[in-house]
Amino acid sequence: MWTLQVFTLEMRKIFSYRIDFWTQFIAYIVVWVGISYFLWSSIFAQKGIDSIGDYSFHALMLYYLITASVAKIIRGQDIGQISREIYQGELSRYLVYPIPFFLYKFVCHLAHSFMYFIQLIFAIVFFACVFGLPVEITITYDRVLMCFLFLLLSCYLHFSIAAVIEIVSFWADNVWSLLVMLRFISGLLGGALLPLVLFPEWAQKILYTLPFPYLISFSSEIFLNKVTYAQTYKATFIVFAWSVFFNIIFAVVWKKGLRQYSGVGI
Amino acid sequence: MIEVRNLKKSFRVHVKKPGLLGSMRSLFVRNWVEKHALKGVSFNVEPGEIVGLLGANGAGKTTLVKTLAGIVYPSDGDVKILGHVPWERKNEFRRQIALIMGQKAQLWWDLPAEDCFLLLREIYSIPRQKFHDKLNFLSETLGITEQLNIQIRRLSLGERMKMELIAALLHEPRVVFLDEPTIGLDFTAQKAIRDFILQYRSQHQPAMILTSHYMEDIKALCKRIIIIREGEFIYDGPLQNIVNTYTKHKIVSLHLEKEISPPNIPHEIVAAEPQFLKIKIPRDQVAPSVNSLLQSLPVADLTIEEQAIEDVIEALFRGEM
Repeated sequence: MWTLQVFTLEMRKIFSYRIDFWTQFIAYIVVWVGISYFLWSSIFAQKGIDSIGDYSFHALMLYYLITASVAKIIRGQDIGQISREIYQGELSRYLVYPIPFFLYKFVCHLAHSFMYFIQLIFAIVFFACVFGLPVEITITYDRVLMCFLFLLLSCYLHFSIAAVIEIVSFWADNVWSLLVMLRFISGLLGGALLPLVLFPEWAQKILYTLPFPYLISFSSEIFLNKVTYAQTYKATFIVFAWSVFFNIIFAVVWKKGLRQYSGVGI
Repeated sequence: MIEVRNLKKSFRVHVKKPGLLGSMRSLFVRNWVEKHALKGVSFNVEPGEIVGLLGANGAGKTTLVKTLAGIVYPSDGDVKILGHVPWERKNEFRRQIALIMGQKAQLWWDLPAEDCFLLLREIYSIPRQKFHDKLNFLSETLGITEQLNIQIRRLSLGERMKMELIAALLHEPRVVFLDEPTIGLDFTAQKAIRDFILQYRSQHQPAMILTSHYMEDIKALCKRIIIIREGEFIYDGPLQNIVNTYTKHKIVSLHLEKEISPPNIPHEIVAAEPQFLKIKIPRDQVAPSVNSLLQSLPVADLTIEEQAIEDVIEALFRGEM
């Protein structure tokens, strides 16, 4: 199967830059969780509270560790790669191969996501060994499995959204700002900056109909036992619906975009 | 195998005035110009034929190749390759073609060539044994077996180009587009690639379209050439006929036995030295004129030359013929 070959090839490419692989991960997690630690420890101390929403300080730190990793997992490959390939004419080579471009790129994306997933496991094990797991959290196999499966869906959804934005580059030379916007919005509305439970209730109701919470925070919430099975099934349906929506948009834009494509650079 | 009828392609190109002011202005107002890359070209290519596509930079060669490979959509016209419309990009079509772009790496930069070939084996569903036999044969023929496990980015330009050729031909395409396959290569590598292409042609009889700025490539590989200028074909025929078609004169050089003053003859004297004359004579008058010159001048030696193909083609590029 070519998809498996693409997946393993992409993994080999990641392995060939192993220093970058580890430094990028450690720097990102340390900075992100470090900022969250100092910010929230000061809030907890000033307010004199021992929990916020239904998160203890300990659980909140684990939440930030997981969401920081999940954000990397769903984003997979560097943003802007597809748009760069369109802009520089490198898309041409994929158009000649008898394979669907979207699937090819998703498999590449998934390989990166998988590597970040392995890093997430390292991060959780490290956290559990050094700080211990919060007492209110019980890790069960079915939760871990469900979390993993949901992460796959989140990866697909994020890729579908990002791919639609990336192929705008058929018309606009640079879509970097749009991709940065997606990153910021998915971070804010996806619960990476702030747990969504801290948002007002009306905002949460709206948010949970949008794709963003299912990109980052929902997987973490499954892992941390914060959502029920029923909520997970509903979320799966919503992710599926949004994925179909973005795939249809992609198909339409892709078809129109290819008519614009001139394969510059060759 | 390749049928092209009245193919047209126009691009809308954004034009920006130079300087900061021009850049700021383009934020609000954009000026576009329509560029006609192909202005209704028609031709056929048969199996086993290698057609050389020649033209100056920007003449429309690469646009034509990209359209035939299904990479860009045409503005108008019909193309059938192996019965398929290229820009519909059906898998059955893509399995039977190959595109080699000398100026653009198609293999994966960070991976050894063999890994890239393994991926191509999967993409084209090449049976394992056939793949290994083919890869061994191709790599031995091109003399790059030792380099198969080296990352593409660490290979020399010539080695990389050979890998690109292998990658393109592993699945035995029936239609091959070669866009400047020897660009930037030394003579040895150029020759190796030319020999290899000829060998592939004799074994598989594909239809091939070759663009190249090197006349050596064209002379060695193509019996038929198409010359394109500003999106239009100005010549489509045998390479050898181009001189007969476009040159009205032959050059007659005379080495004389003794010094003479320039003779009074009805033809243009291109060069005159005390014992040497170079005369431009219309093609249809060469025989009687030479006969007359032999009788009237003390000729020691005589040569009759055609204008060089390169010069004719260059003049055609410039629109001087």
